[in-house]
Amino acid sequence: MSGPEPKPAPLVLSFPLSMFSLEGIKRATYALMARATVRFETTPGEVRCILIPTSLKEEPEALERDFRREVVDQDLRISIEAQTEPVRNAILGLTFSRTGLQE
Amino acid sequence: MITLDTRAARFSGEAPTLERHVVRLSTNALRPRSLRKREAYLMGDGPVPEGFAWYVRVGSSVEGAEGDGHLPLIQLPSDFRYLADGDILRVFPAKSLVRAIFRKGASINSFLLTERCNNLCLMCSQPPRNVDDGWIVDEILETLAHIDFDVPEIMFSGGEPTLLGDRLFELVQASKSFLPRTSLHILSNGRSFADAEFARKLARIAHPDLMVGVPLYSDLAHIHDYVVQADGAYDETVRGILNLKQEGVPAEVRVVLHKQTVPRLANLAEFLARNLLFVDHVALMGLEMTGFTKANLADLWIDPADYADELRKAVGILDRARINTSIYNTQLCIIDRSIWRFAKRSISDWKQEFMSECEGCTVRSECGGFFSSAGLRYSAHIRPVAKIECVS
Amino acid sequence: MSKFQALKSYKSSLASGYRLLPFRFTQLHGDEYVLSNLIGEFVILDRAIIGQFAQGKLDPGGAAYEELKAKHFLIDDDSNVAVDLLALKLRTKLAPLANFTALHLFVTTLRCDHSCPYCQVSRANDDLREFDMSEDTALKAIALAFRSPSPVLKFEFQGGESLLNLSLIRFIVDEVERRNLEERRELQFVIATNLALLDDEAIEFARQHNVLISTSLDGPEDLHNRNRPRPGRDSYARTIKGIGRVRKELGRDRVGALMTTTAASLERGREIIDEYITQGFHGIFLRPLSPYGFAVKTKSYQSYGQEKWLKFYFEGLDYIIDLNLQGYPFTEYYASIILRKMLTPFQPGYVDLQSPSGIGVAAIVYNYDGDVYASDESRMLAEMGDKTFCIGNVHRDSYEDIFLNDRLLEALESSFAASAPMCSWCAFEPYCGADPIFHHTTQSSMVGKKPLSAFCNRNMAIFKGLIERLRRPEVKEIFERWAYS
Repeated sequence: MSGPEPKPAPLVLSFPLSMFSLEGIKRATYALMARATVRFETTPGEVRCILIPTSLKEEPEALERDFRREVVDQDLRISIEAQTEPVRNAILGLTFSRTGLQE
Repeated sequence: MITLDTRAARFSGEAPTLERHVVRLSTNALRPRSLRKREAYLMGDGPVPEGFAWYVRVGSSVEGAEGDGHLPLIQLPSDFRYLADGDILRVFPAKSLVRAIFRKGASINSFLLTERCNNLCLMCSQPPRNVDDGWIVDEILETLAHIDFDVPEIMFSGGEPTLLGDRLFELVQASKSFLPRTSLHILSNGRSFADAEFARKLARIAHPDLMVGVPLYSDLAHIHDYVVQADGAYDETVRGILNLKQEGVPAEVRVVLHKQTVPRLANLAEFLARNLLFVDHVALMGLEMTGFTKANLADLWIDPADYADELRKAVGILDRARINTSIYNTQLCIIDRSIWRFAKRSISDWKQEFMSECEGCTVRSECGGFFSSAGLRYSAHIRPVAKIECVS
Repeated sequence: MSKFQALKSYKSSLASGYRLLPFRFTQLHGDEYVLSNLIGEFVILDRAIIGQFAQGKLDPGGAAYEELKAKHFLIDDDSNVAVDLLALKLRTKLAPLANFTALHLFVTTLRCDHSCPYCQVSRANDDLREFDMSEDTALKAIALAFRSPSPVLKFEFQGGESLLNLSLIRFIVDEVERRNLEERRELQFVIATNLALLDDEAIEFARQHNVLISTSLDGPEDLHNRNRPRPGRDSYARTIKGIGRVRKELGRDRVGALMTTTAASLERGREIIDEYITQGFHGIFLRPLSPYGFAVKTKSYQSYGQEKWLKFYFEGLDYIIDLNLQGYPFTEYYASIILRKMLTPFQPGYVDLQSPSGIGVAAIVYNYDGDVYASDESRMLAEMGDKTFCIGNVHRDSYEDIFLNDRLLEALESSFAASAPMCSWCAFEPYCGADPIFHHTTQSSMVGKKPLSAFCNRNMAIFKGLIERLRRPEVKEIFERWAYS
């Protein structure tokens, strides 16, 4: 009789909320869901992400590097979306402003 | 190079007027009498019909022929032997001035509407002057009435034609009324059309065959603005093109090829393919050695053979995007063989010449040749195309 | 003395800072990222530069700044006409939506002479008429089709094997043409057929009404016959004969072929392409493995299927690129659809790669029994027992009941990519689509979790692969030709 299936070791990553947004962290976990499931533990000023890789073949260094990269990228995206929302609305307004179409 | 004007015309006999005016030339001795009063008879060997406002003799001795005495006569030097039936002259006896302002047989008939301009292109072939030249519009209106209406095309240029405001529309309307079967090509920097109402006014005239040619020199605003020496010109020009097309006026983009425009030529082609895909035509034009070009030669000159690759790439991009494209004012031997079919013979006959290096070239008749002004500077790579290269 | 200003005086307005225009970014490879603007024009930049750019610190004199400005990722005091141009280009991309449903598929019969293992819908029995569409059903479906505002109406006949019910096809075409005398739309007719039963009558009919033929060609003879068995085991021979006949009697371009990709196809991409060339075609659609009929909900379909399929796809694509470079024009149609989105201001209108989804909006299926489906996949799903995407019946429901159906609207709205997580921030979203039926089938959710989606993984791999190949100038020229044709 074989023993219980070996599980991949959890990876614990901390993100100070003074530097990273919760929204960005959530988006990152969504983006990497194929590679890890994530549990959150929040303490004042910090979020701890407990990542459990979905595959035994996953290298912990690679997962950490990619997860951290994704969190930073998502924060940047959130910032860009906020910055560009007014001009985006202006462009959409122009797009739909005439009933006749150019072509 | 044809001589178009002279200040050495000799006037004799009883002039109908000493003021500047316009007359159509006729060689038809049986021209209806009612029309003769406002036309000039171009004298040949035959009998001289009565009733014309002027009689024009080209190239004979200064004293004139016998029997000329009482006729209102204009004597022109033999340079004017090209004059023909249907041509139109500006005549200014008080200043001994005659200018051929319209030649029926010319490949292109261009009217300068004004010398004023709101750009100052580094390579301007018609350097602007800030003068009050509104009289030109009146003269053109008069001329349009004299032009035979089977003429295929006329062009309005300047300076900047749209600076005439409503008078431009008057001219376009007159072209439509007097010459409904004649194509009208207007060269403009397009900036005035950034005002949508201005574009609308032009469109409302509903000229049956109109095209506005607008220069655009880069995909980057600051480079275009530098070439035309006007801050903010790029945005106005692009908006102008958009408005013209929005109002249904055919528009083409014109690019003069020189050191400032060639480096980003492929980028400009991509920009056009993405943003101005609906323009009716793109013209890529070789540099003319006149006007301001000479003063700015160091910043403008590049041997066309050195941009053959950029030109090939740009034409490829435009062609794949299905944009109607032409190359003007460039010789066949210095452009890539694969794009010869885009090269059009565009230099006005009175400006066109060939060089000694062209001796023996087998594609001369297909080639646009050179501006006569090219003598100042032209490609170091001109060579005759041998027959074997012609086989497609 | 010069009245001319130097270049630098026209650059001074660049020094006063710039403002971002809307854009998204996604990793391409390592530190190289793809940035795309509101309408999908893209640049490739190093990750470090994106940060600088977003924080307003990018050097206005540099090449990155110039590229981002020329491609409408920023505006500055020097120029802001980018805003007008983006609005215009967006309008061009969205305009075709207003035309609504252009493609109307009629399932004229389920009877078929083939018994292809991957087919969900055929009934082998040749004689029973209960699986034929009735004239009454056809008339009602035609009435619905003409309710569409589209100036172009494409009627496609499917089955089973359409030619087993030629008389009904004839009935439908006659009725459509009769109505069109008043309606004055641009009409296109296509018959999807395996060509095994092509006869003089069918040829004559196709000639008279300008009908296009669409057939199946899965590859070389052994592969094709293995995929597509029929009594006599001669599907390939009949298909080739039929293609030849259509070309000769109707015209070279009157017949197109589609392949179905099976596990057996995956090792034989080149041979399949060579077969298409031999048979005189100038393009091929390298289709993905169909999830319908396989073990859809198992992960094995998703991961195993995708890697091998992507290898098959890119080997085929690279082979096709080489053919083009060697002077033989040949197109890969899936790439050309995506390239049209990437490189031109146009919208290709391919149903499976649109957001909002093309189901119902771009195409609609009228089944033999009058049931109306939002797409062909919806019909296949119903044959497997899931009628989620059946949006009505021609005998019972009005045009409004069908097209304003909650099921359809929910599918369209919930799957809309621009609002979905992952898609809403993905740089490739302008090239992609929503596939609510696929996601419903594989994940029981019309939106689906994109990181787990074979549709997403496959398409992202293709977008990246195309962008990488676009970096070669000679390949860019080929791709531009495909995109604009």
